[in-house]
Amino acid sequence: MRCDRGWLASIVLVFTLGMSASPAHAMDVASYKIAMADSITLSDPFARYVTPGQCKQAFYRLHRAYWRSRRRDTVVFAPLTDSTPKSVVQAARHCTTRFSVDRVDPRQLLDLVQLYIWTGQGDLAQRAMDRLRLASAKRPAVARGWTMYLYAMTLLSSRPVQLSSVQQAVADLDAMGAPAATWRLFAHNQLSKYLIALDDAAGAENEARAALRASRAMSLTDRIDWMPRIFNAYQSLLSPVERRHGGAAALTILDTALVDLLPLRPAGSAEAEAIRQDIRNERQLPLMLGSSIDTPLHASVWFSTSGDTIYPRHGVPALLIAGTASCGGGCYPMYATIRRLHAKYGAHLDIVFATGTGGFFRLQPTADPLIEADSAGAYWTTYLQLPVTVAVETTSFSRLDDGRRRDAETVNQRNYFRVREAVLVDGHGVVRWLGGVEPTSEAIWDHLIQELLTAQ
Amino acid sequence: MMSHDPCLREPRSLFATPSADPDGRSLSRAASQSLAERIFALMTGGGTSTVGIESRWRNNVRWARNDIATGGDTEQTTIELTRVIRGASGNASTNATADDALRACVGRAESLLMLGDESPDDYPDPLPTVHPHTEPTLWFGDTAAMRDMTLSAVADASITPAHTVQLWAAGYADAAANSRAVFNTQGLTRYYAYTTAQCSITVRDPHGHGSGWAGVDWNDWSRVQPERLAQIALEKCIRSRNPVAIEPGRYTAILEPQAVCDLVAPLVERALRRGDAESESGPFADPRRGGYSRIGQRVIDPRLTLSADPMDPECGIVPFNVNGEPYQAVKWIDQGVLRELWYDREYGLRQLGKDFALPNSEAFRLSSATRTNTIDEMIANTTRGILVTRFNNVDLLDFNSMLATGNTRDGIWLIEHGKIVKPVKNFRFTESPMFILNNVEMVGAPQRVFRPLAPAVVPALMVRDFSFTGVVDAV
Amino acid sequence: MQRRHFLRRASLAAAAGFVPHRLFGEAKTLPGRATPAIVGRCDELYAPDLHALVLRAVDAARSAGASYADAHITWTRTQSPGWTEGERRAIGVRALVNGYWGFFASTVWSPDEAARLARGAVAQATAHGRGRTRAAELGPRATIANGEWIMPVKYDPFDIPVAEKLDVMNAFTDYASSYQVGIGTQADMAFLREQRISATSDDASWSQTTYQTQAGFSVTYRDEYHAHLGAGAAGADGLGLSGRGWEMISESGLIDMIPQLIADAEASRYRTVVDVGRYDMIFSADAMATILDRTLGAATELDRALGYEANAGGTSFLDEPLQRLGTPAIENPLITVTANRSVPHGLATVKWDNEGIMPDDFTIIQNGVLVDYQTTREQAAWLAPYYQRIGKPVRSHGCAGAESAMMIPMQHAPNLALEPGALETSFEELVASIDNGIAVLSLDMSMDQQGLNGLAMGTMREIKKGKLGRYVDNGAIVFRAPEFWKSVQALGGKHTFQWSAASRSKGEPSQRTSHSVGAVPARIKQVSLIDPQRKA
Repeated sequence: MRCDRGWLASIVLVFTLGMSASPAHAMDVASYKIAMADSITLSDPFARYVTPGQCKQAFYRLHRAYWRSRRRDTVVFAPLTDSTPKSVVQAARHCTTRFSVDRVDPRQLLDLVQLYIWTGQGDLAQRAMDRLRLASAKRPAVARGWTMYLYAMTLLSSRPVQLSSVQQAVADLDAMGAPAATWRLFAHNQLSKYLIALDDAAGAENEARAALRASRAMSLTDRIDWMPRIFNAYQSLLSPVERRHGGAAALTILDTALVDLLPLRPAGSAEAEAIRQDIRNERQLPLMLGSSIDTPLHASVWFSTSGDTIYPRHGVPALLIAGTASCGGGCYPMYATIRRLHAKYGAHLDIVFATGTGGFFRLQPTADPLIEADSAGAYWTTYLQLPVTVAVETTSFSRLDDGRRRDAETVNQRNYFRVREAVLVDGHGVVRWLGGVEPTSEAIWDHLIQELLTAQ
Repeated sequence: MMSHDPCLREPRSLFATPSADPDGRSLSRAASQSLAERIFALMTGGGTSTVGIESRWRNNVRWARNDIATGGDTEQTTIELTRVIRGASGNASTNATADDALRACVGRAESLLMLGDESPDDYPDPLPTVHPHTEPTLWFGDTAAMRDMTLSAVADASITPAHTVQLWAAGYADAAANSRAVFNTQGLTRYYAYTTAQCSITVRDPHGHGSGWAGVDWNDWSRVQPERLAQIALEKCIRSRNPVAIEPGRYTAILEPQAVCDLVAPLVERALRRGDAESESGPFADPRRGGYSRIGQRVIDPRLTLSADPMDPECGIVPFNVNGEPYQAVKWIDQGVLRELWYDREYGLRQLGKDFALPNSEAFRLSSATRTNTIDEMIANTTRGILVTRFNNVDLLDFNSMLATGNTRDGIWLIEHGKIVKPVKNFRFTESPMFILNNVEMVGAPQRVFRPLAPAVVPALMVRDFSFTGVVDAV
Repeated sequence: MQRRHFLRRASLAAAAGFVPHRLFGEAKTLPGRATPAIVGRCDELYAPDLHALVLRAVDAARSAGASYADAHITWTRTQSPGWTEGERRAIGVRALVNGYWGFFASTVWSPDEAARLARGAVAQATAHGRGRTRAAELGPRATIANGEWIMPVKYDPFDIPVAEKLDVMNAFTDYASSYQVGIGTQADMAFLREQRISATSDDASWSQTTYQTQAGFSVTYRDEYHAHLGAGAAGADGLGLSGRGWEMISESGLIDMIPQLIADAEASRYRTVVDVGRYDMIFSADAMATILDRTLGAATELDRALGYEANAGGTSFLDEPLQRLGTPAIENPLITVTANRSVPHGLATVKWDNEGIMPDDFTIIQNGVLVDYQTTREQAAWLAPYYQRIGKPVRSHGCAGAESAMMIPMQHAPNLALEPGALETSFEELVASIDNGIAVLSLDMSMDQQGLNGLAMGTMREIKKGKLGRYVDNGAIVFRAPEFWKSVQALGGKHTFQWSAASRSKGEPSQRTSHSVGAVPARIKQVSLIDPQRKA
């Protein structure tokens, strides 16, 4: 890779020997040779890299740079299933050839393992992992467990993922028993989240339960220290349970969580109250699941190709999303998911953006909410050409005594979006799922919609 | 081939008549604009650019031990460039205006932004409104035309009287012609020319037994009055000789305007950010309501107003910041009540529905609504107290309380029964501007002080229970 | 790339008829050191044109009537990788007429401008004289002709791509955060390269290139639950500002330091409040360097001591030099302070100072006795009676410097050193000698205007029964410089000596330069510890 300069290599400016007989006006500085040469001619951009860790950072950077100039609003990029771009893999491999599994400093072995895994060099990864295990054999179990956890996460973050390898690594971690209990909690939890994203509800449920089993093997001190992570494992468990067994079963899980976690904080303390509050918040979703919303979406302004302004429409499953037009680039992954869903389901699925007014559109204040509504709708439908219907409410607001605007809850927020930003309703107004819409949850939405349509 | 750089000035005859024309010393509007256009023409890859161009031509003289020591005549144009392509930004700066330097500067900014993440959202937002700025008169032709002869005479204004009484005068004076300009590729064009001038004088006893100081800065040299400063510094030195140590403790303190500025300036520079106050940070966060500032609440003595206005006749400000955002007339604290804290454009938009930021120039005027008192009146009203000229090395200890430490310098006296009785040794202090502004007995008439960073007009204050925490036997 | 170089030379040769003398030729190093491999050059500066400019300037100054003049060009590159890049050009001319100085500077590199600046400096010096003449003895002059020196570095940081720099630094932070759970990191780096081309009217001409590289690296540790302990933090020593190239970061032993940093960060969560009072204290080498610099270092700047900074930073408690020289400045024979501009990687290390003088290594305080001050050519003459009395030559110690050619040359701090004790005492041994005291590991200081009384805060730990204990919360020390130095009871040995970075602003307009300060740990008797936030 050449010296990272975007600009022209050198400017050759003519040198003039005008020093003795200089004219009255000053000679242009540009006539002196300040040559801004391009950098060192290294055919190998990694010539000075001395650790695999540095190659790993180059890998991250090149991977980000690869996607940087490729717009993410295509139907192609789906982070869970795409593999790492070839050019990135090649560059990383080239950097890694500088190191040998047998001779590299043991402290660098984990980085080397990671690189081999991410560049699809499984055999080398295995050899490096074997050497790492050997080198760590005398370290305390907690430290070895931490390394094993990092290894499992490396496997989980490679693209594509070899699920069996991940499961083997996590099993090895389990085999370490109680000393590695905290890392087992983390690992099973992360694996559960991955499976949730694949909509493997059964697998995800198993992993979440394994995470919670591991948490019970932790010492009391560790359980106190890591309580938020244990809570997070309960949160991971909720999703597949709701998926497979419905809201009531999820509520039972939350009852268990309360009993399990409350003793980990001093009785009557603010932190104990925070646990209660967090669990109360979590109950909202299963309570709403399976319920029926009788009121249609409310709006002052509609952008609707169908001409209808009653949504959800009877007989048509609808994905209702609370959005904001000022989200900008951060929402492009969501838009990509929406495009893919629309490409698959077409007119069989309604996708509706519901939004309010905030007094501004992107970087401009908008005194008139109707102008803001028009701008938002046009942004999504005309500029982004998203296959969506847009319902814009005029948000009521008040001002604090210091002038700050405080928006009131809108009708749609109260009826639909109290719990999550997106709601899937079947053709009869029954809530079938709630969550965020992005590529990492796309599989769930996809399968659910399919189930709904098949059931019709 | 000799390409002519329009930004290079013709070499001037040293004996040419000084001109009031801004083109003479600072970069003119046309030259600034042309420079910006040259820079924009070098852009590659699309996107937008913002370039800030500041020029300064400064003439200065420095003296010590009753003679001129050094001086300088320097000119420099500094260019700060930010390139933004699809949300990724890169920043580079230079002070050379030749083609190759500008090309390198643009190139560096563009290389930098290649390392950042782009935003895929390329929506053609309409151009932001360019709000007009006020037009204070901050250019004074005579100041721009100051030359070495004049400044040398300035030194003599303090050297001659000091020499007469066997004291040593030291000091510094300068005059500068400046310009500030901001341009971007979306139509923002701002330019402002202004002059600055300062003079500060320290008169010392040659054996280190006493020291006095006076100083001020203005845009207009004719207001500096070095003779007056010299006299003040000289008298303070004479009256400060052979100080006696007294017990530290809490005293009524009469703080001359410079001392008040030394303590209040950190408040203006650091504590006026709205985002901090609404994040439970700093003296203006409401301790009873998390997430709220104290806007609307009384925070200091109800006589006092802390304000800033570019059009202030004694405290005028270059009317826009380095990003081209205009400074507005603002009352941060109005008769004791906190009214405003500064915010950026995004905050203004989302929270307040405004199309602009409220930036902080860090200039300030502290004034009183009621009848003011002279320092003599304050002294006459003091049973036992300390008169302070100024503070040295003020360091912030705690952001929430604004508690600071430092020491007194260049003139400090004990007052008893309404009279100055003797000079005392310097003190270390541990005190907060929030405390003193809430413990005001008397307020003086505001006057301009020495603060070249950003102008300040400040009154003397007589305050209760000022905390002096140690004796510092330095002079 | 090579081909492009060749083409450039050819066209230059064709146009001008001679081969340009590259500033970045073979690295000329100080004698006795091996020439390092210079790997490539990203930005090049061709010297002879600029040499000609400074020569033209001093010629013009002489013609206009200066008895002495010096002219400098600086080209300064700065970079904070991933944040910003800067370039500054300057040319400045200083002239001496009838004993008075004048100075003109700008950013325009052209022969006409060089002449204008020179004539301006002469006219200004004349105006400063106001018709008078005064003596300005400059002492022995510089004798170099076409000298060239490049601070030896392995890699010019401006040749290393920013992406590579980020990869290297990110690899360190990644290693730390993968070492153990709960670790956060903070890292930054900055680079500076100054190329300076100079000439004096004494027929000296030279060019010098210096580098300053700085990195900050700290780890923080925070349990998820034990919030009452707060986050602990520990920063890496030895990566601070110094006269090195990119290798300072790329070849640093940071990986080796990380486990200890993490341990320190964990330990630093356990804080305690200590009673105010007087304690025997062990100061680390870094803390001693800070105090040395801010007390004795500042106090022995001759211009400061004579009152030339009175209107700016202040004066010195070692004033009236001619009376003090030869007498004890510190009533403590343990204290010897030396100065140099020669130590490898020193921030003030140069081959020639701004007046072309080769700086010498000199002693400022010898076993407590004040024996010298920091001087430039003009200033050395102010101590002539003293030098003559003790039989030393009246010559500059080579402390002339300037922040850039835009600023007038003046005396700036050289590298300073507190010489080690005679015994090989270690930091641990010093700590072990204290039953109940405080260890001061680093300091931020606030001094008065004479550099006499100070208040300092920083990282401190209890010492209990000879061992380091909990970190002290919110303590500060107050001291008076002479008493502090008098109370030094023991010093660390040679092997405990370490260099730190310091900088100082002086002059009006203010200019800032950096220098290195070396010290050893020390044991100090009965230092006063206070609560800095306690009001009267």
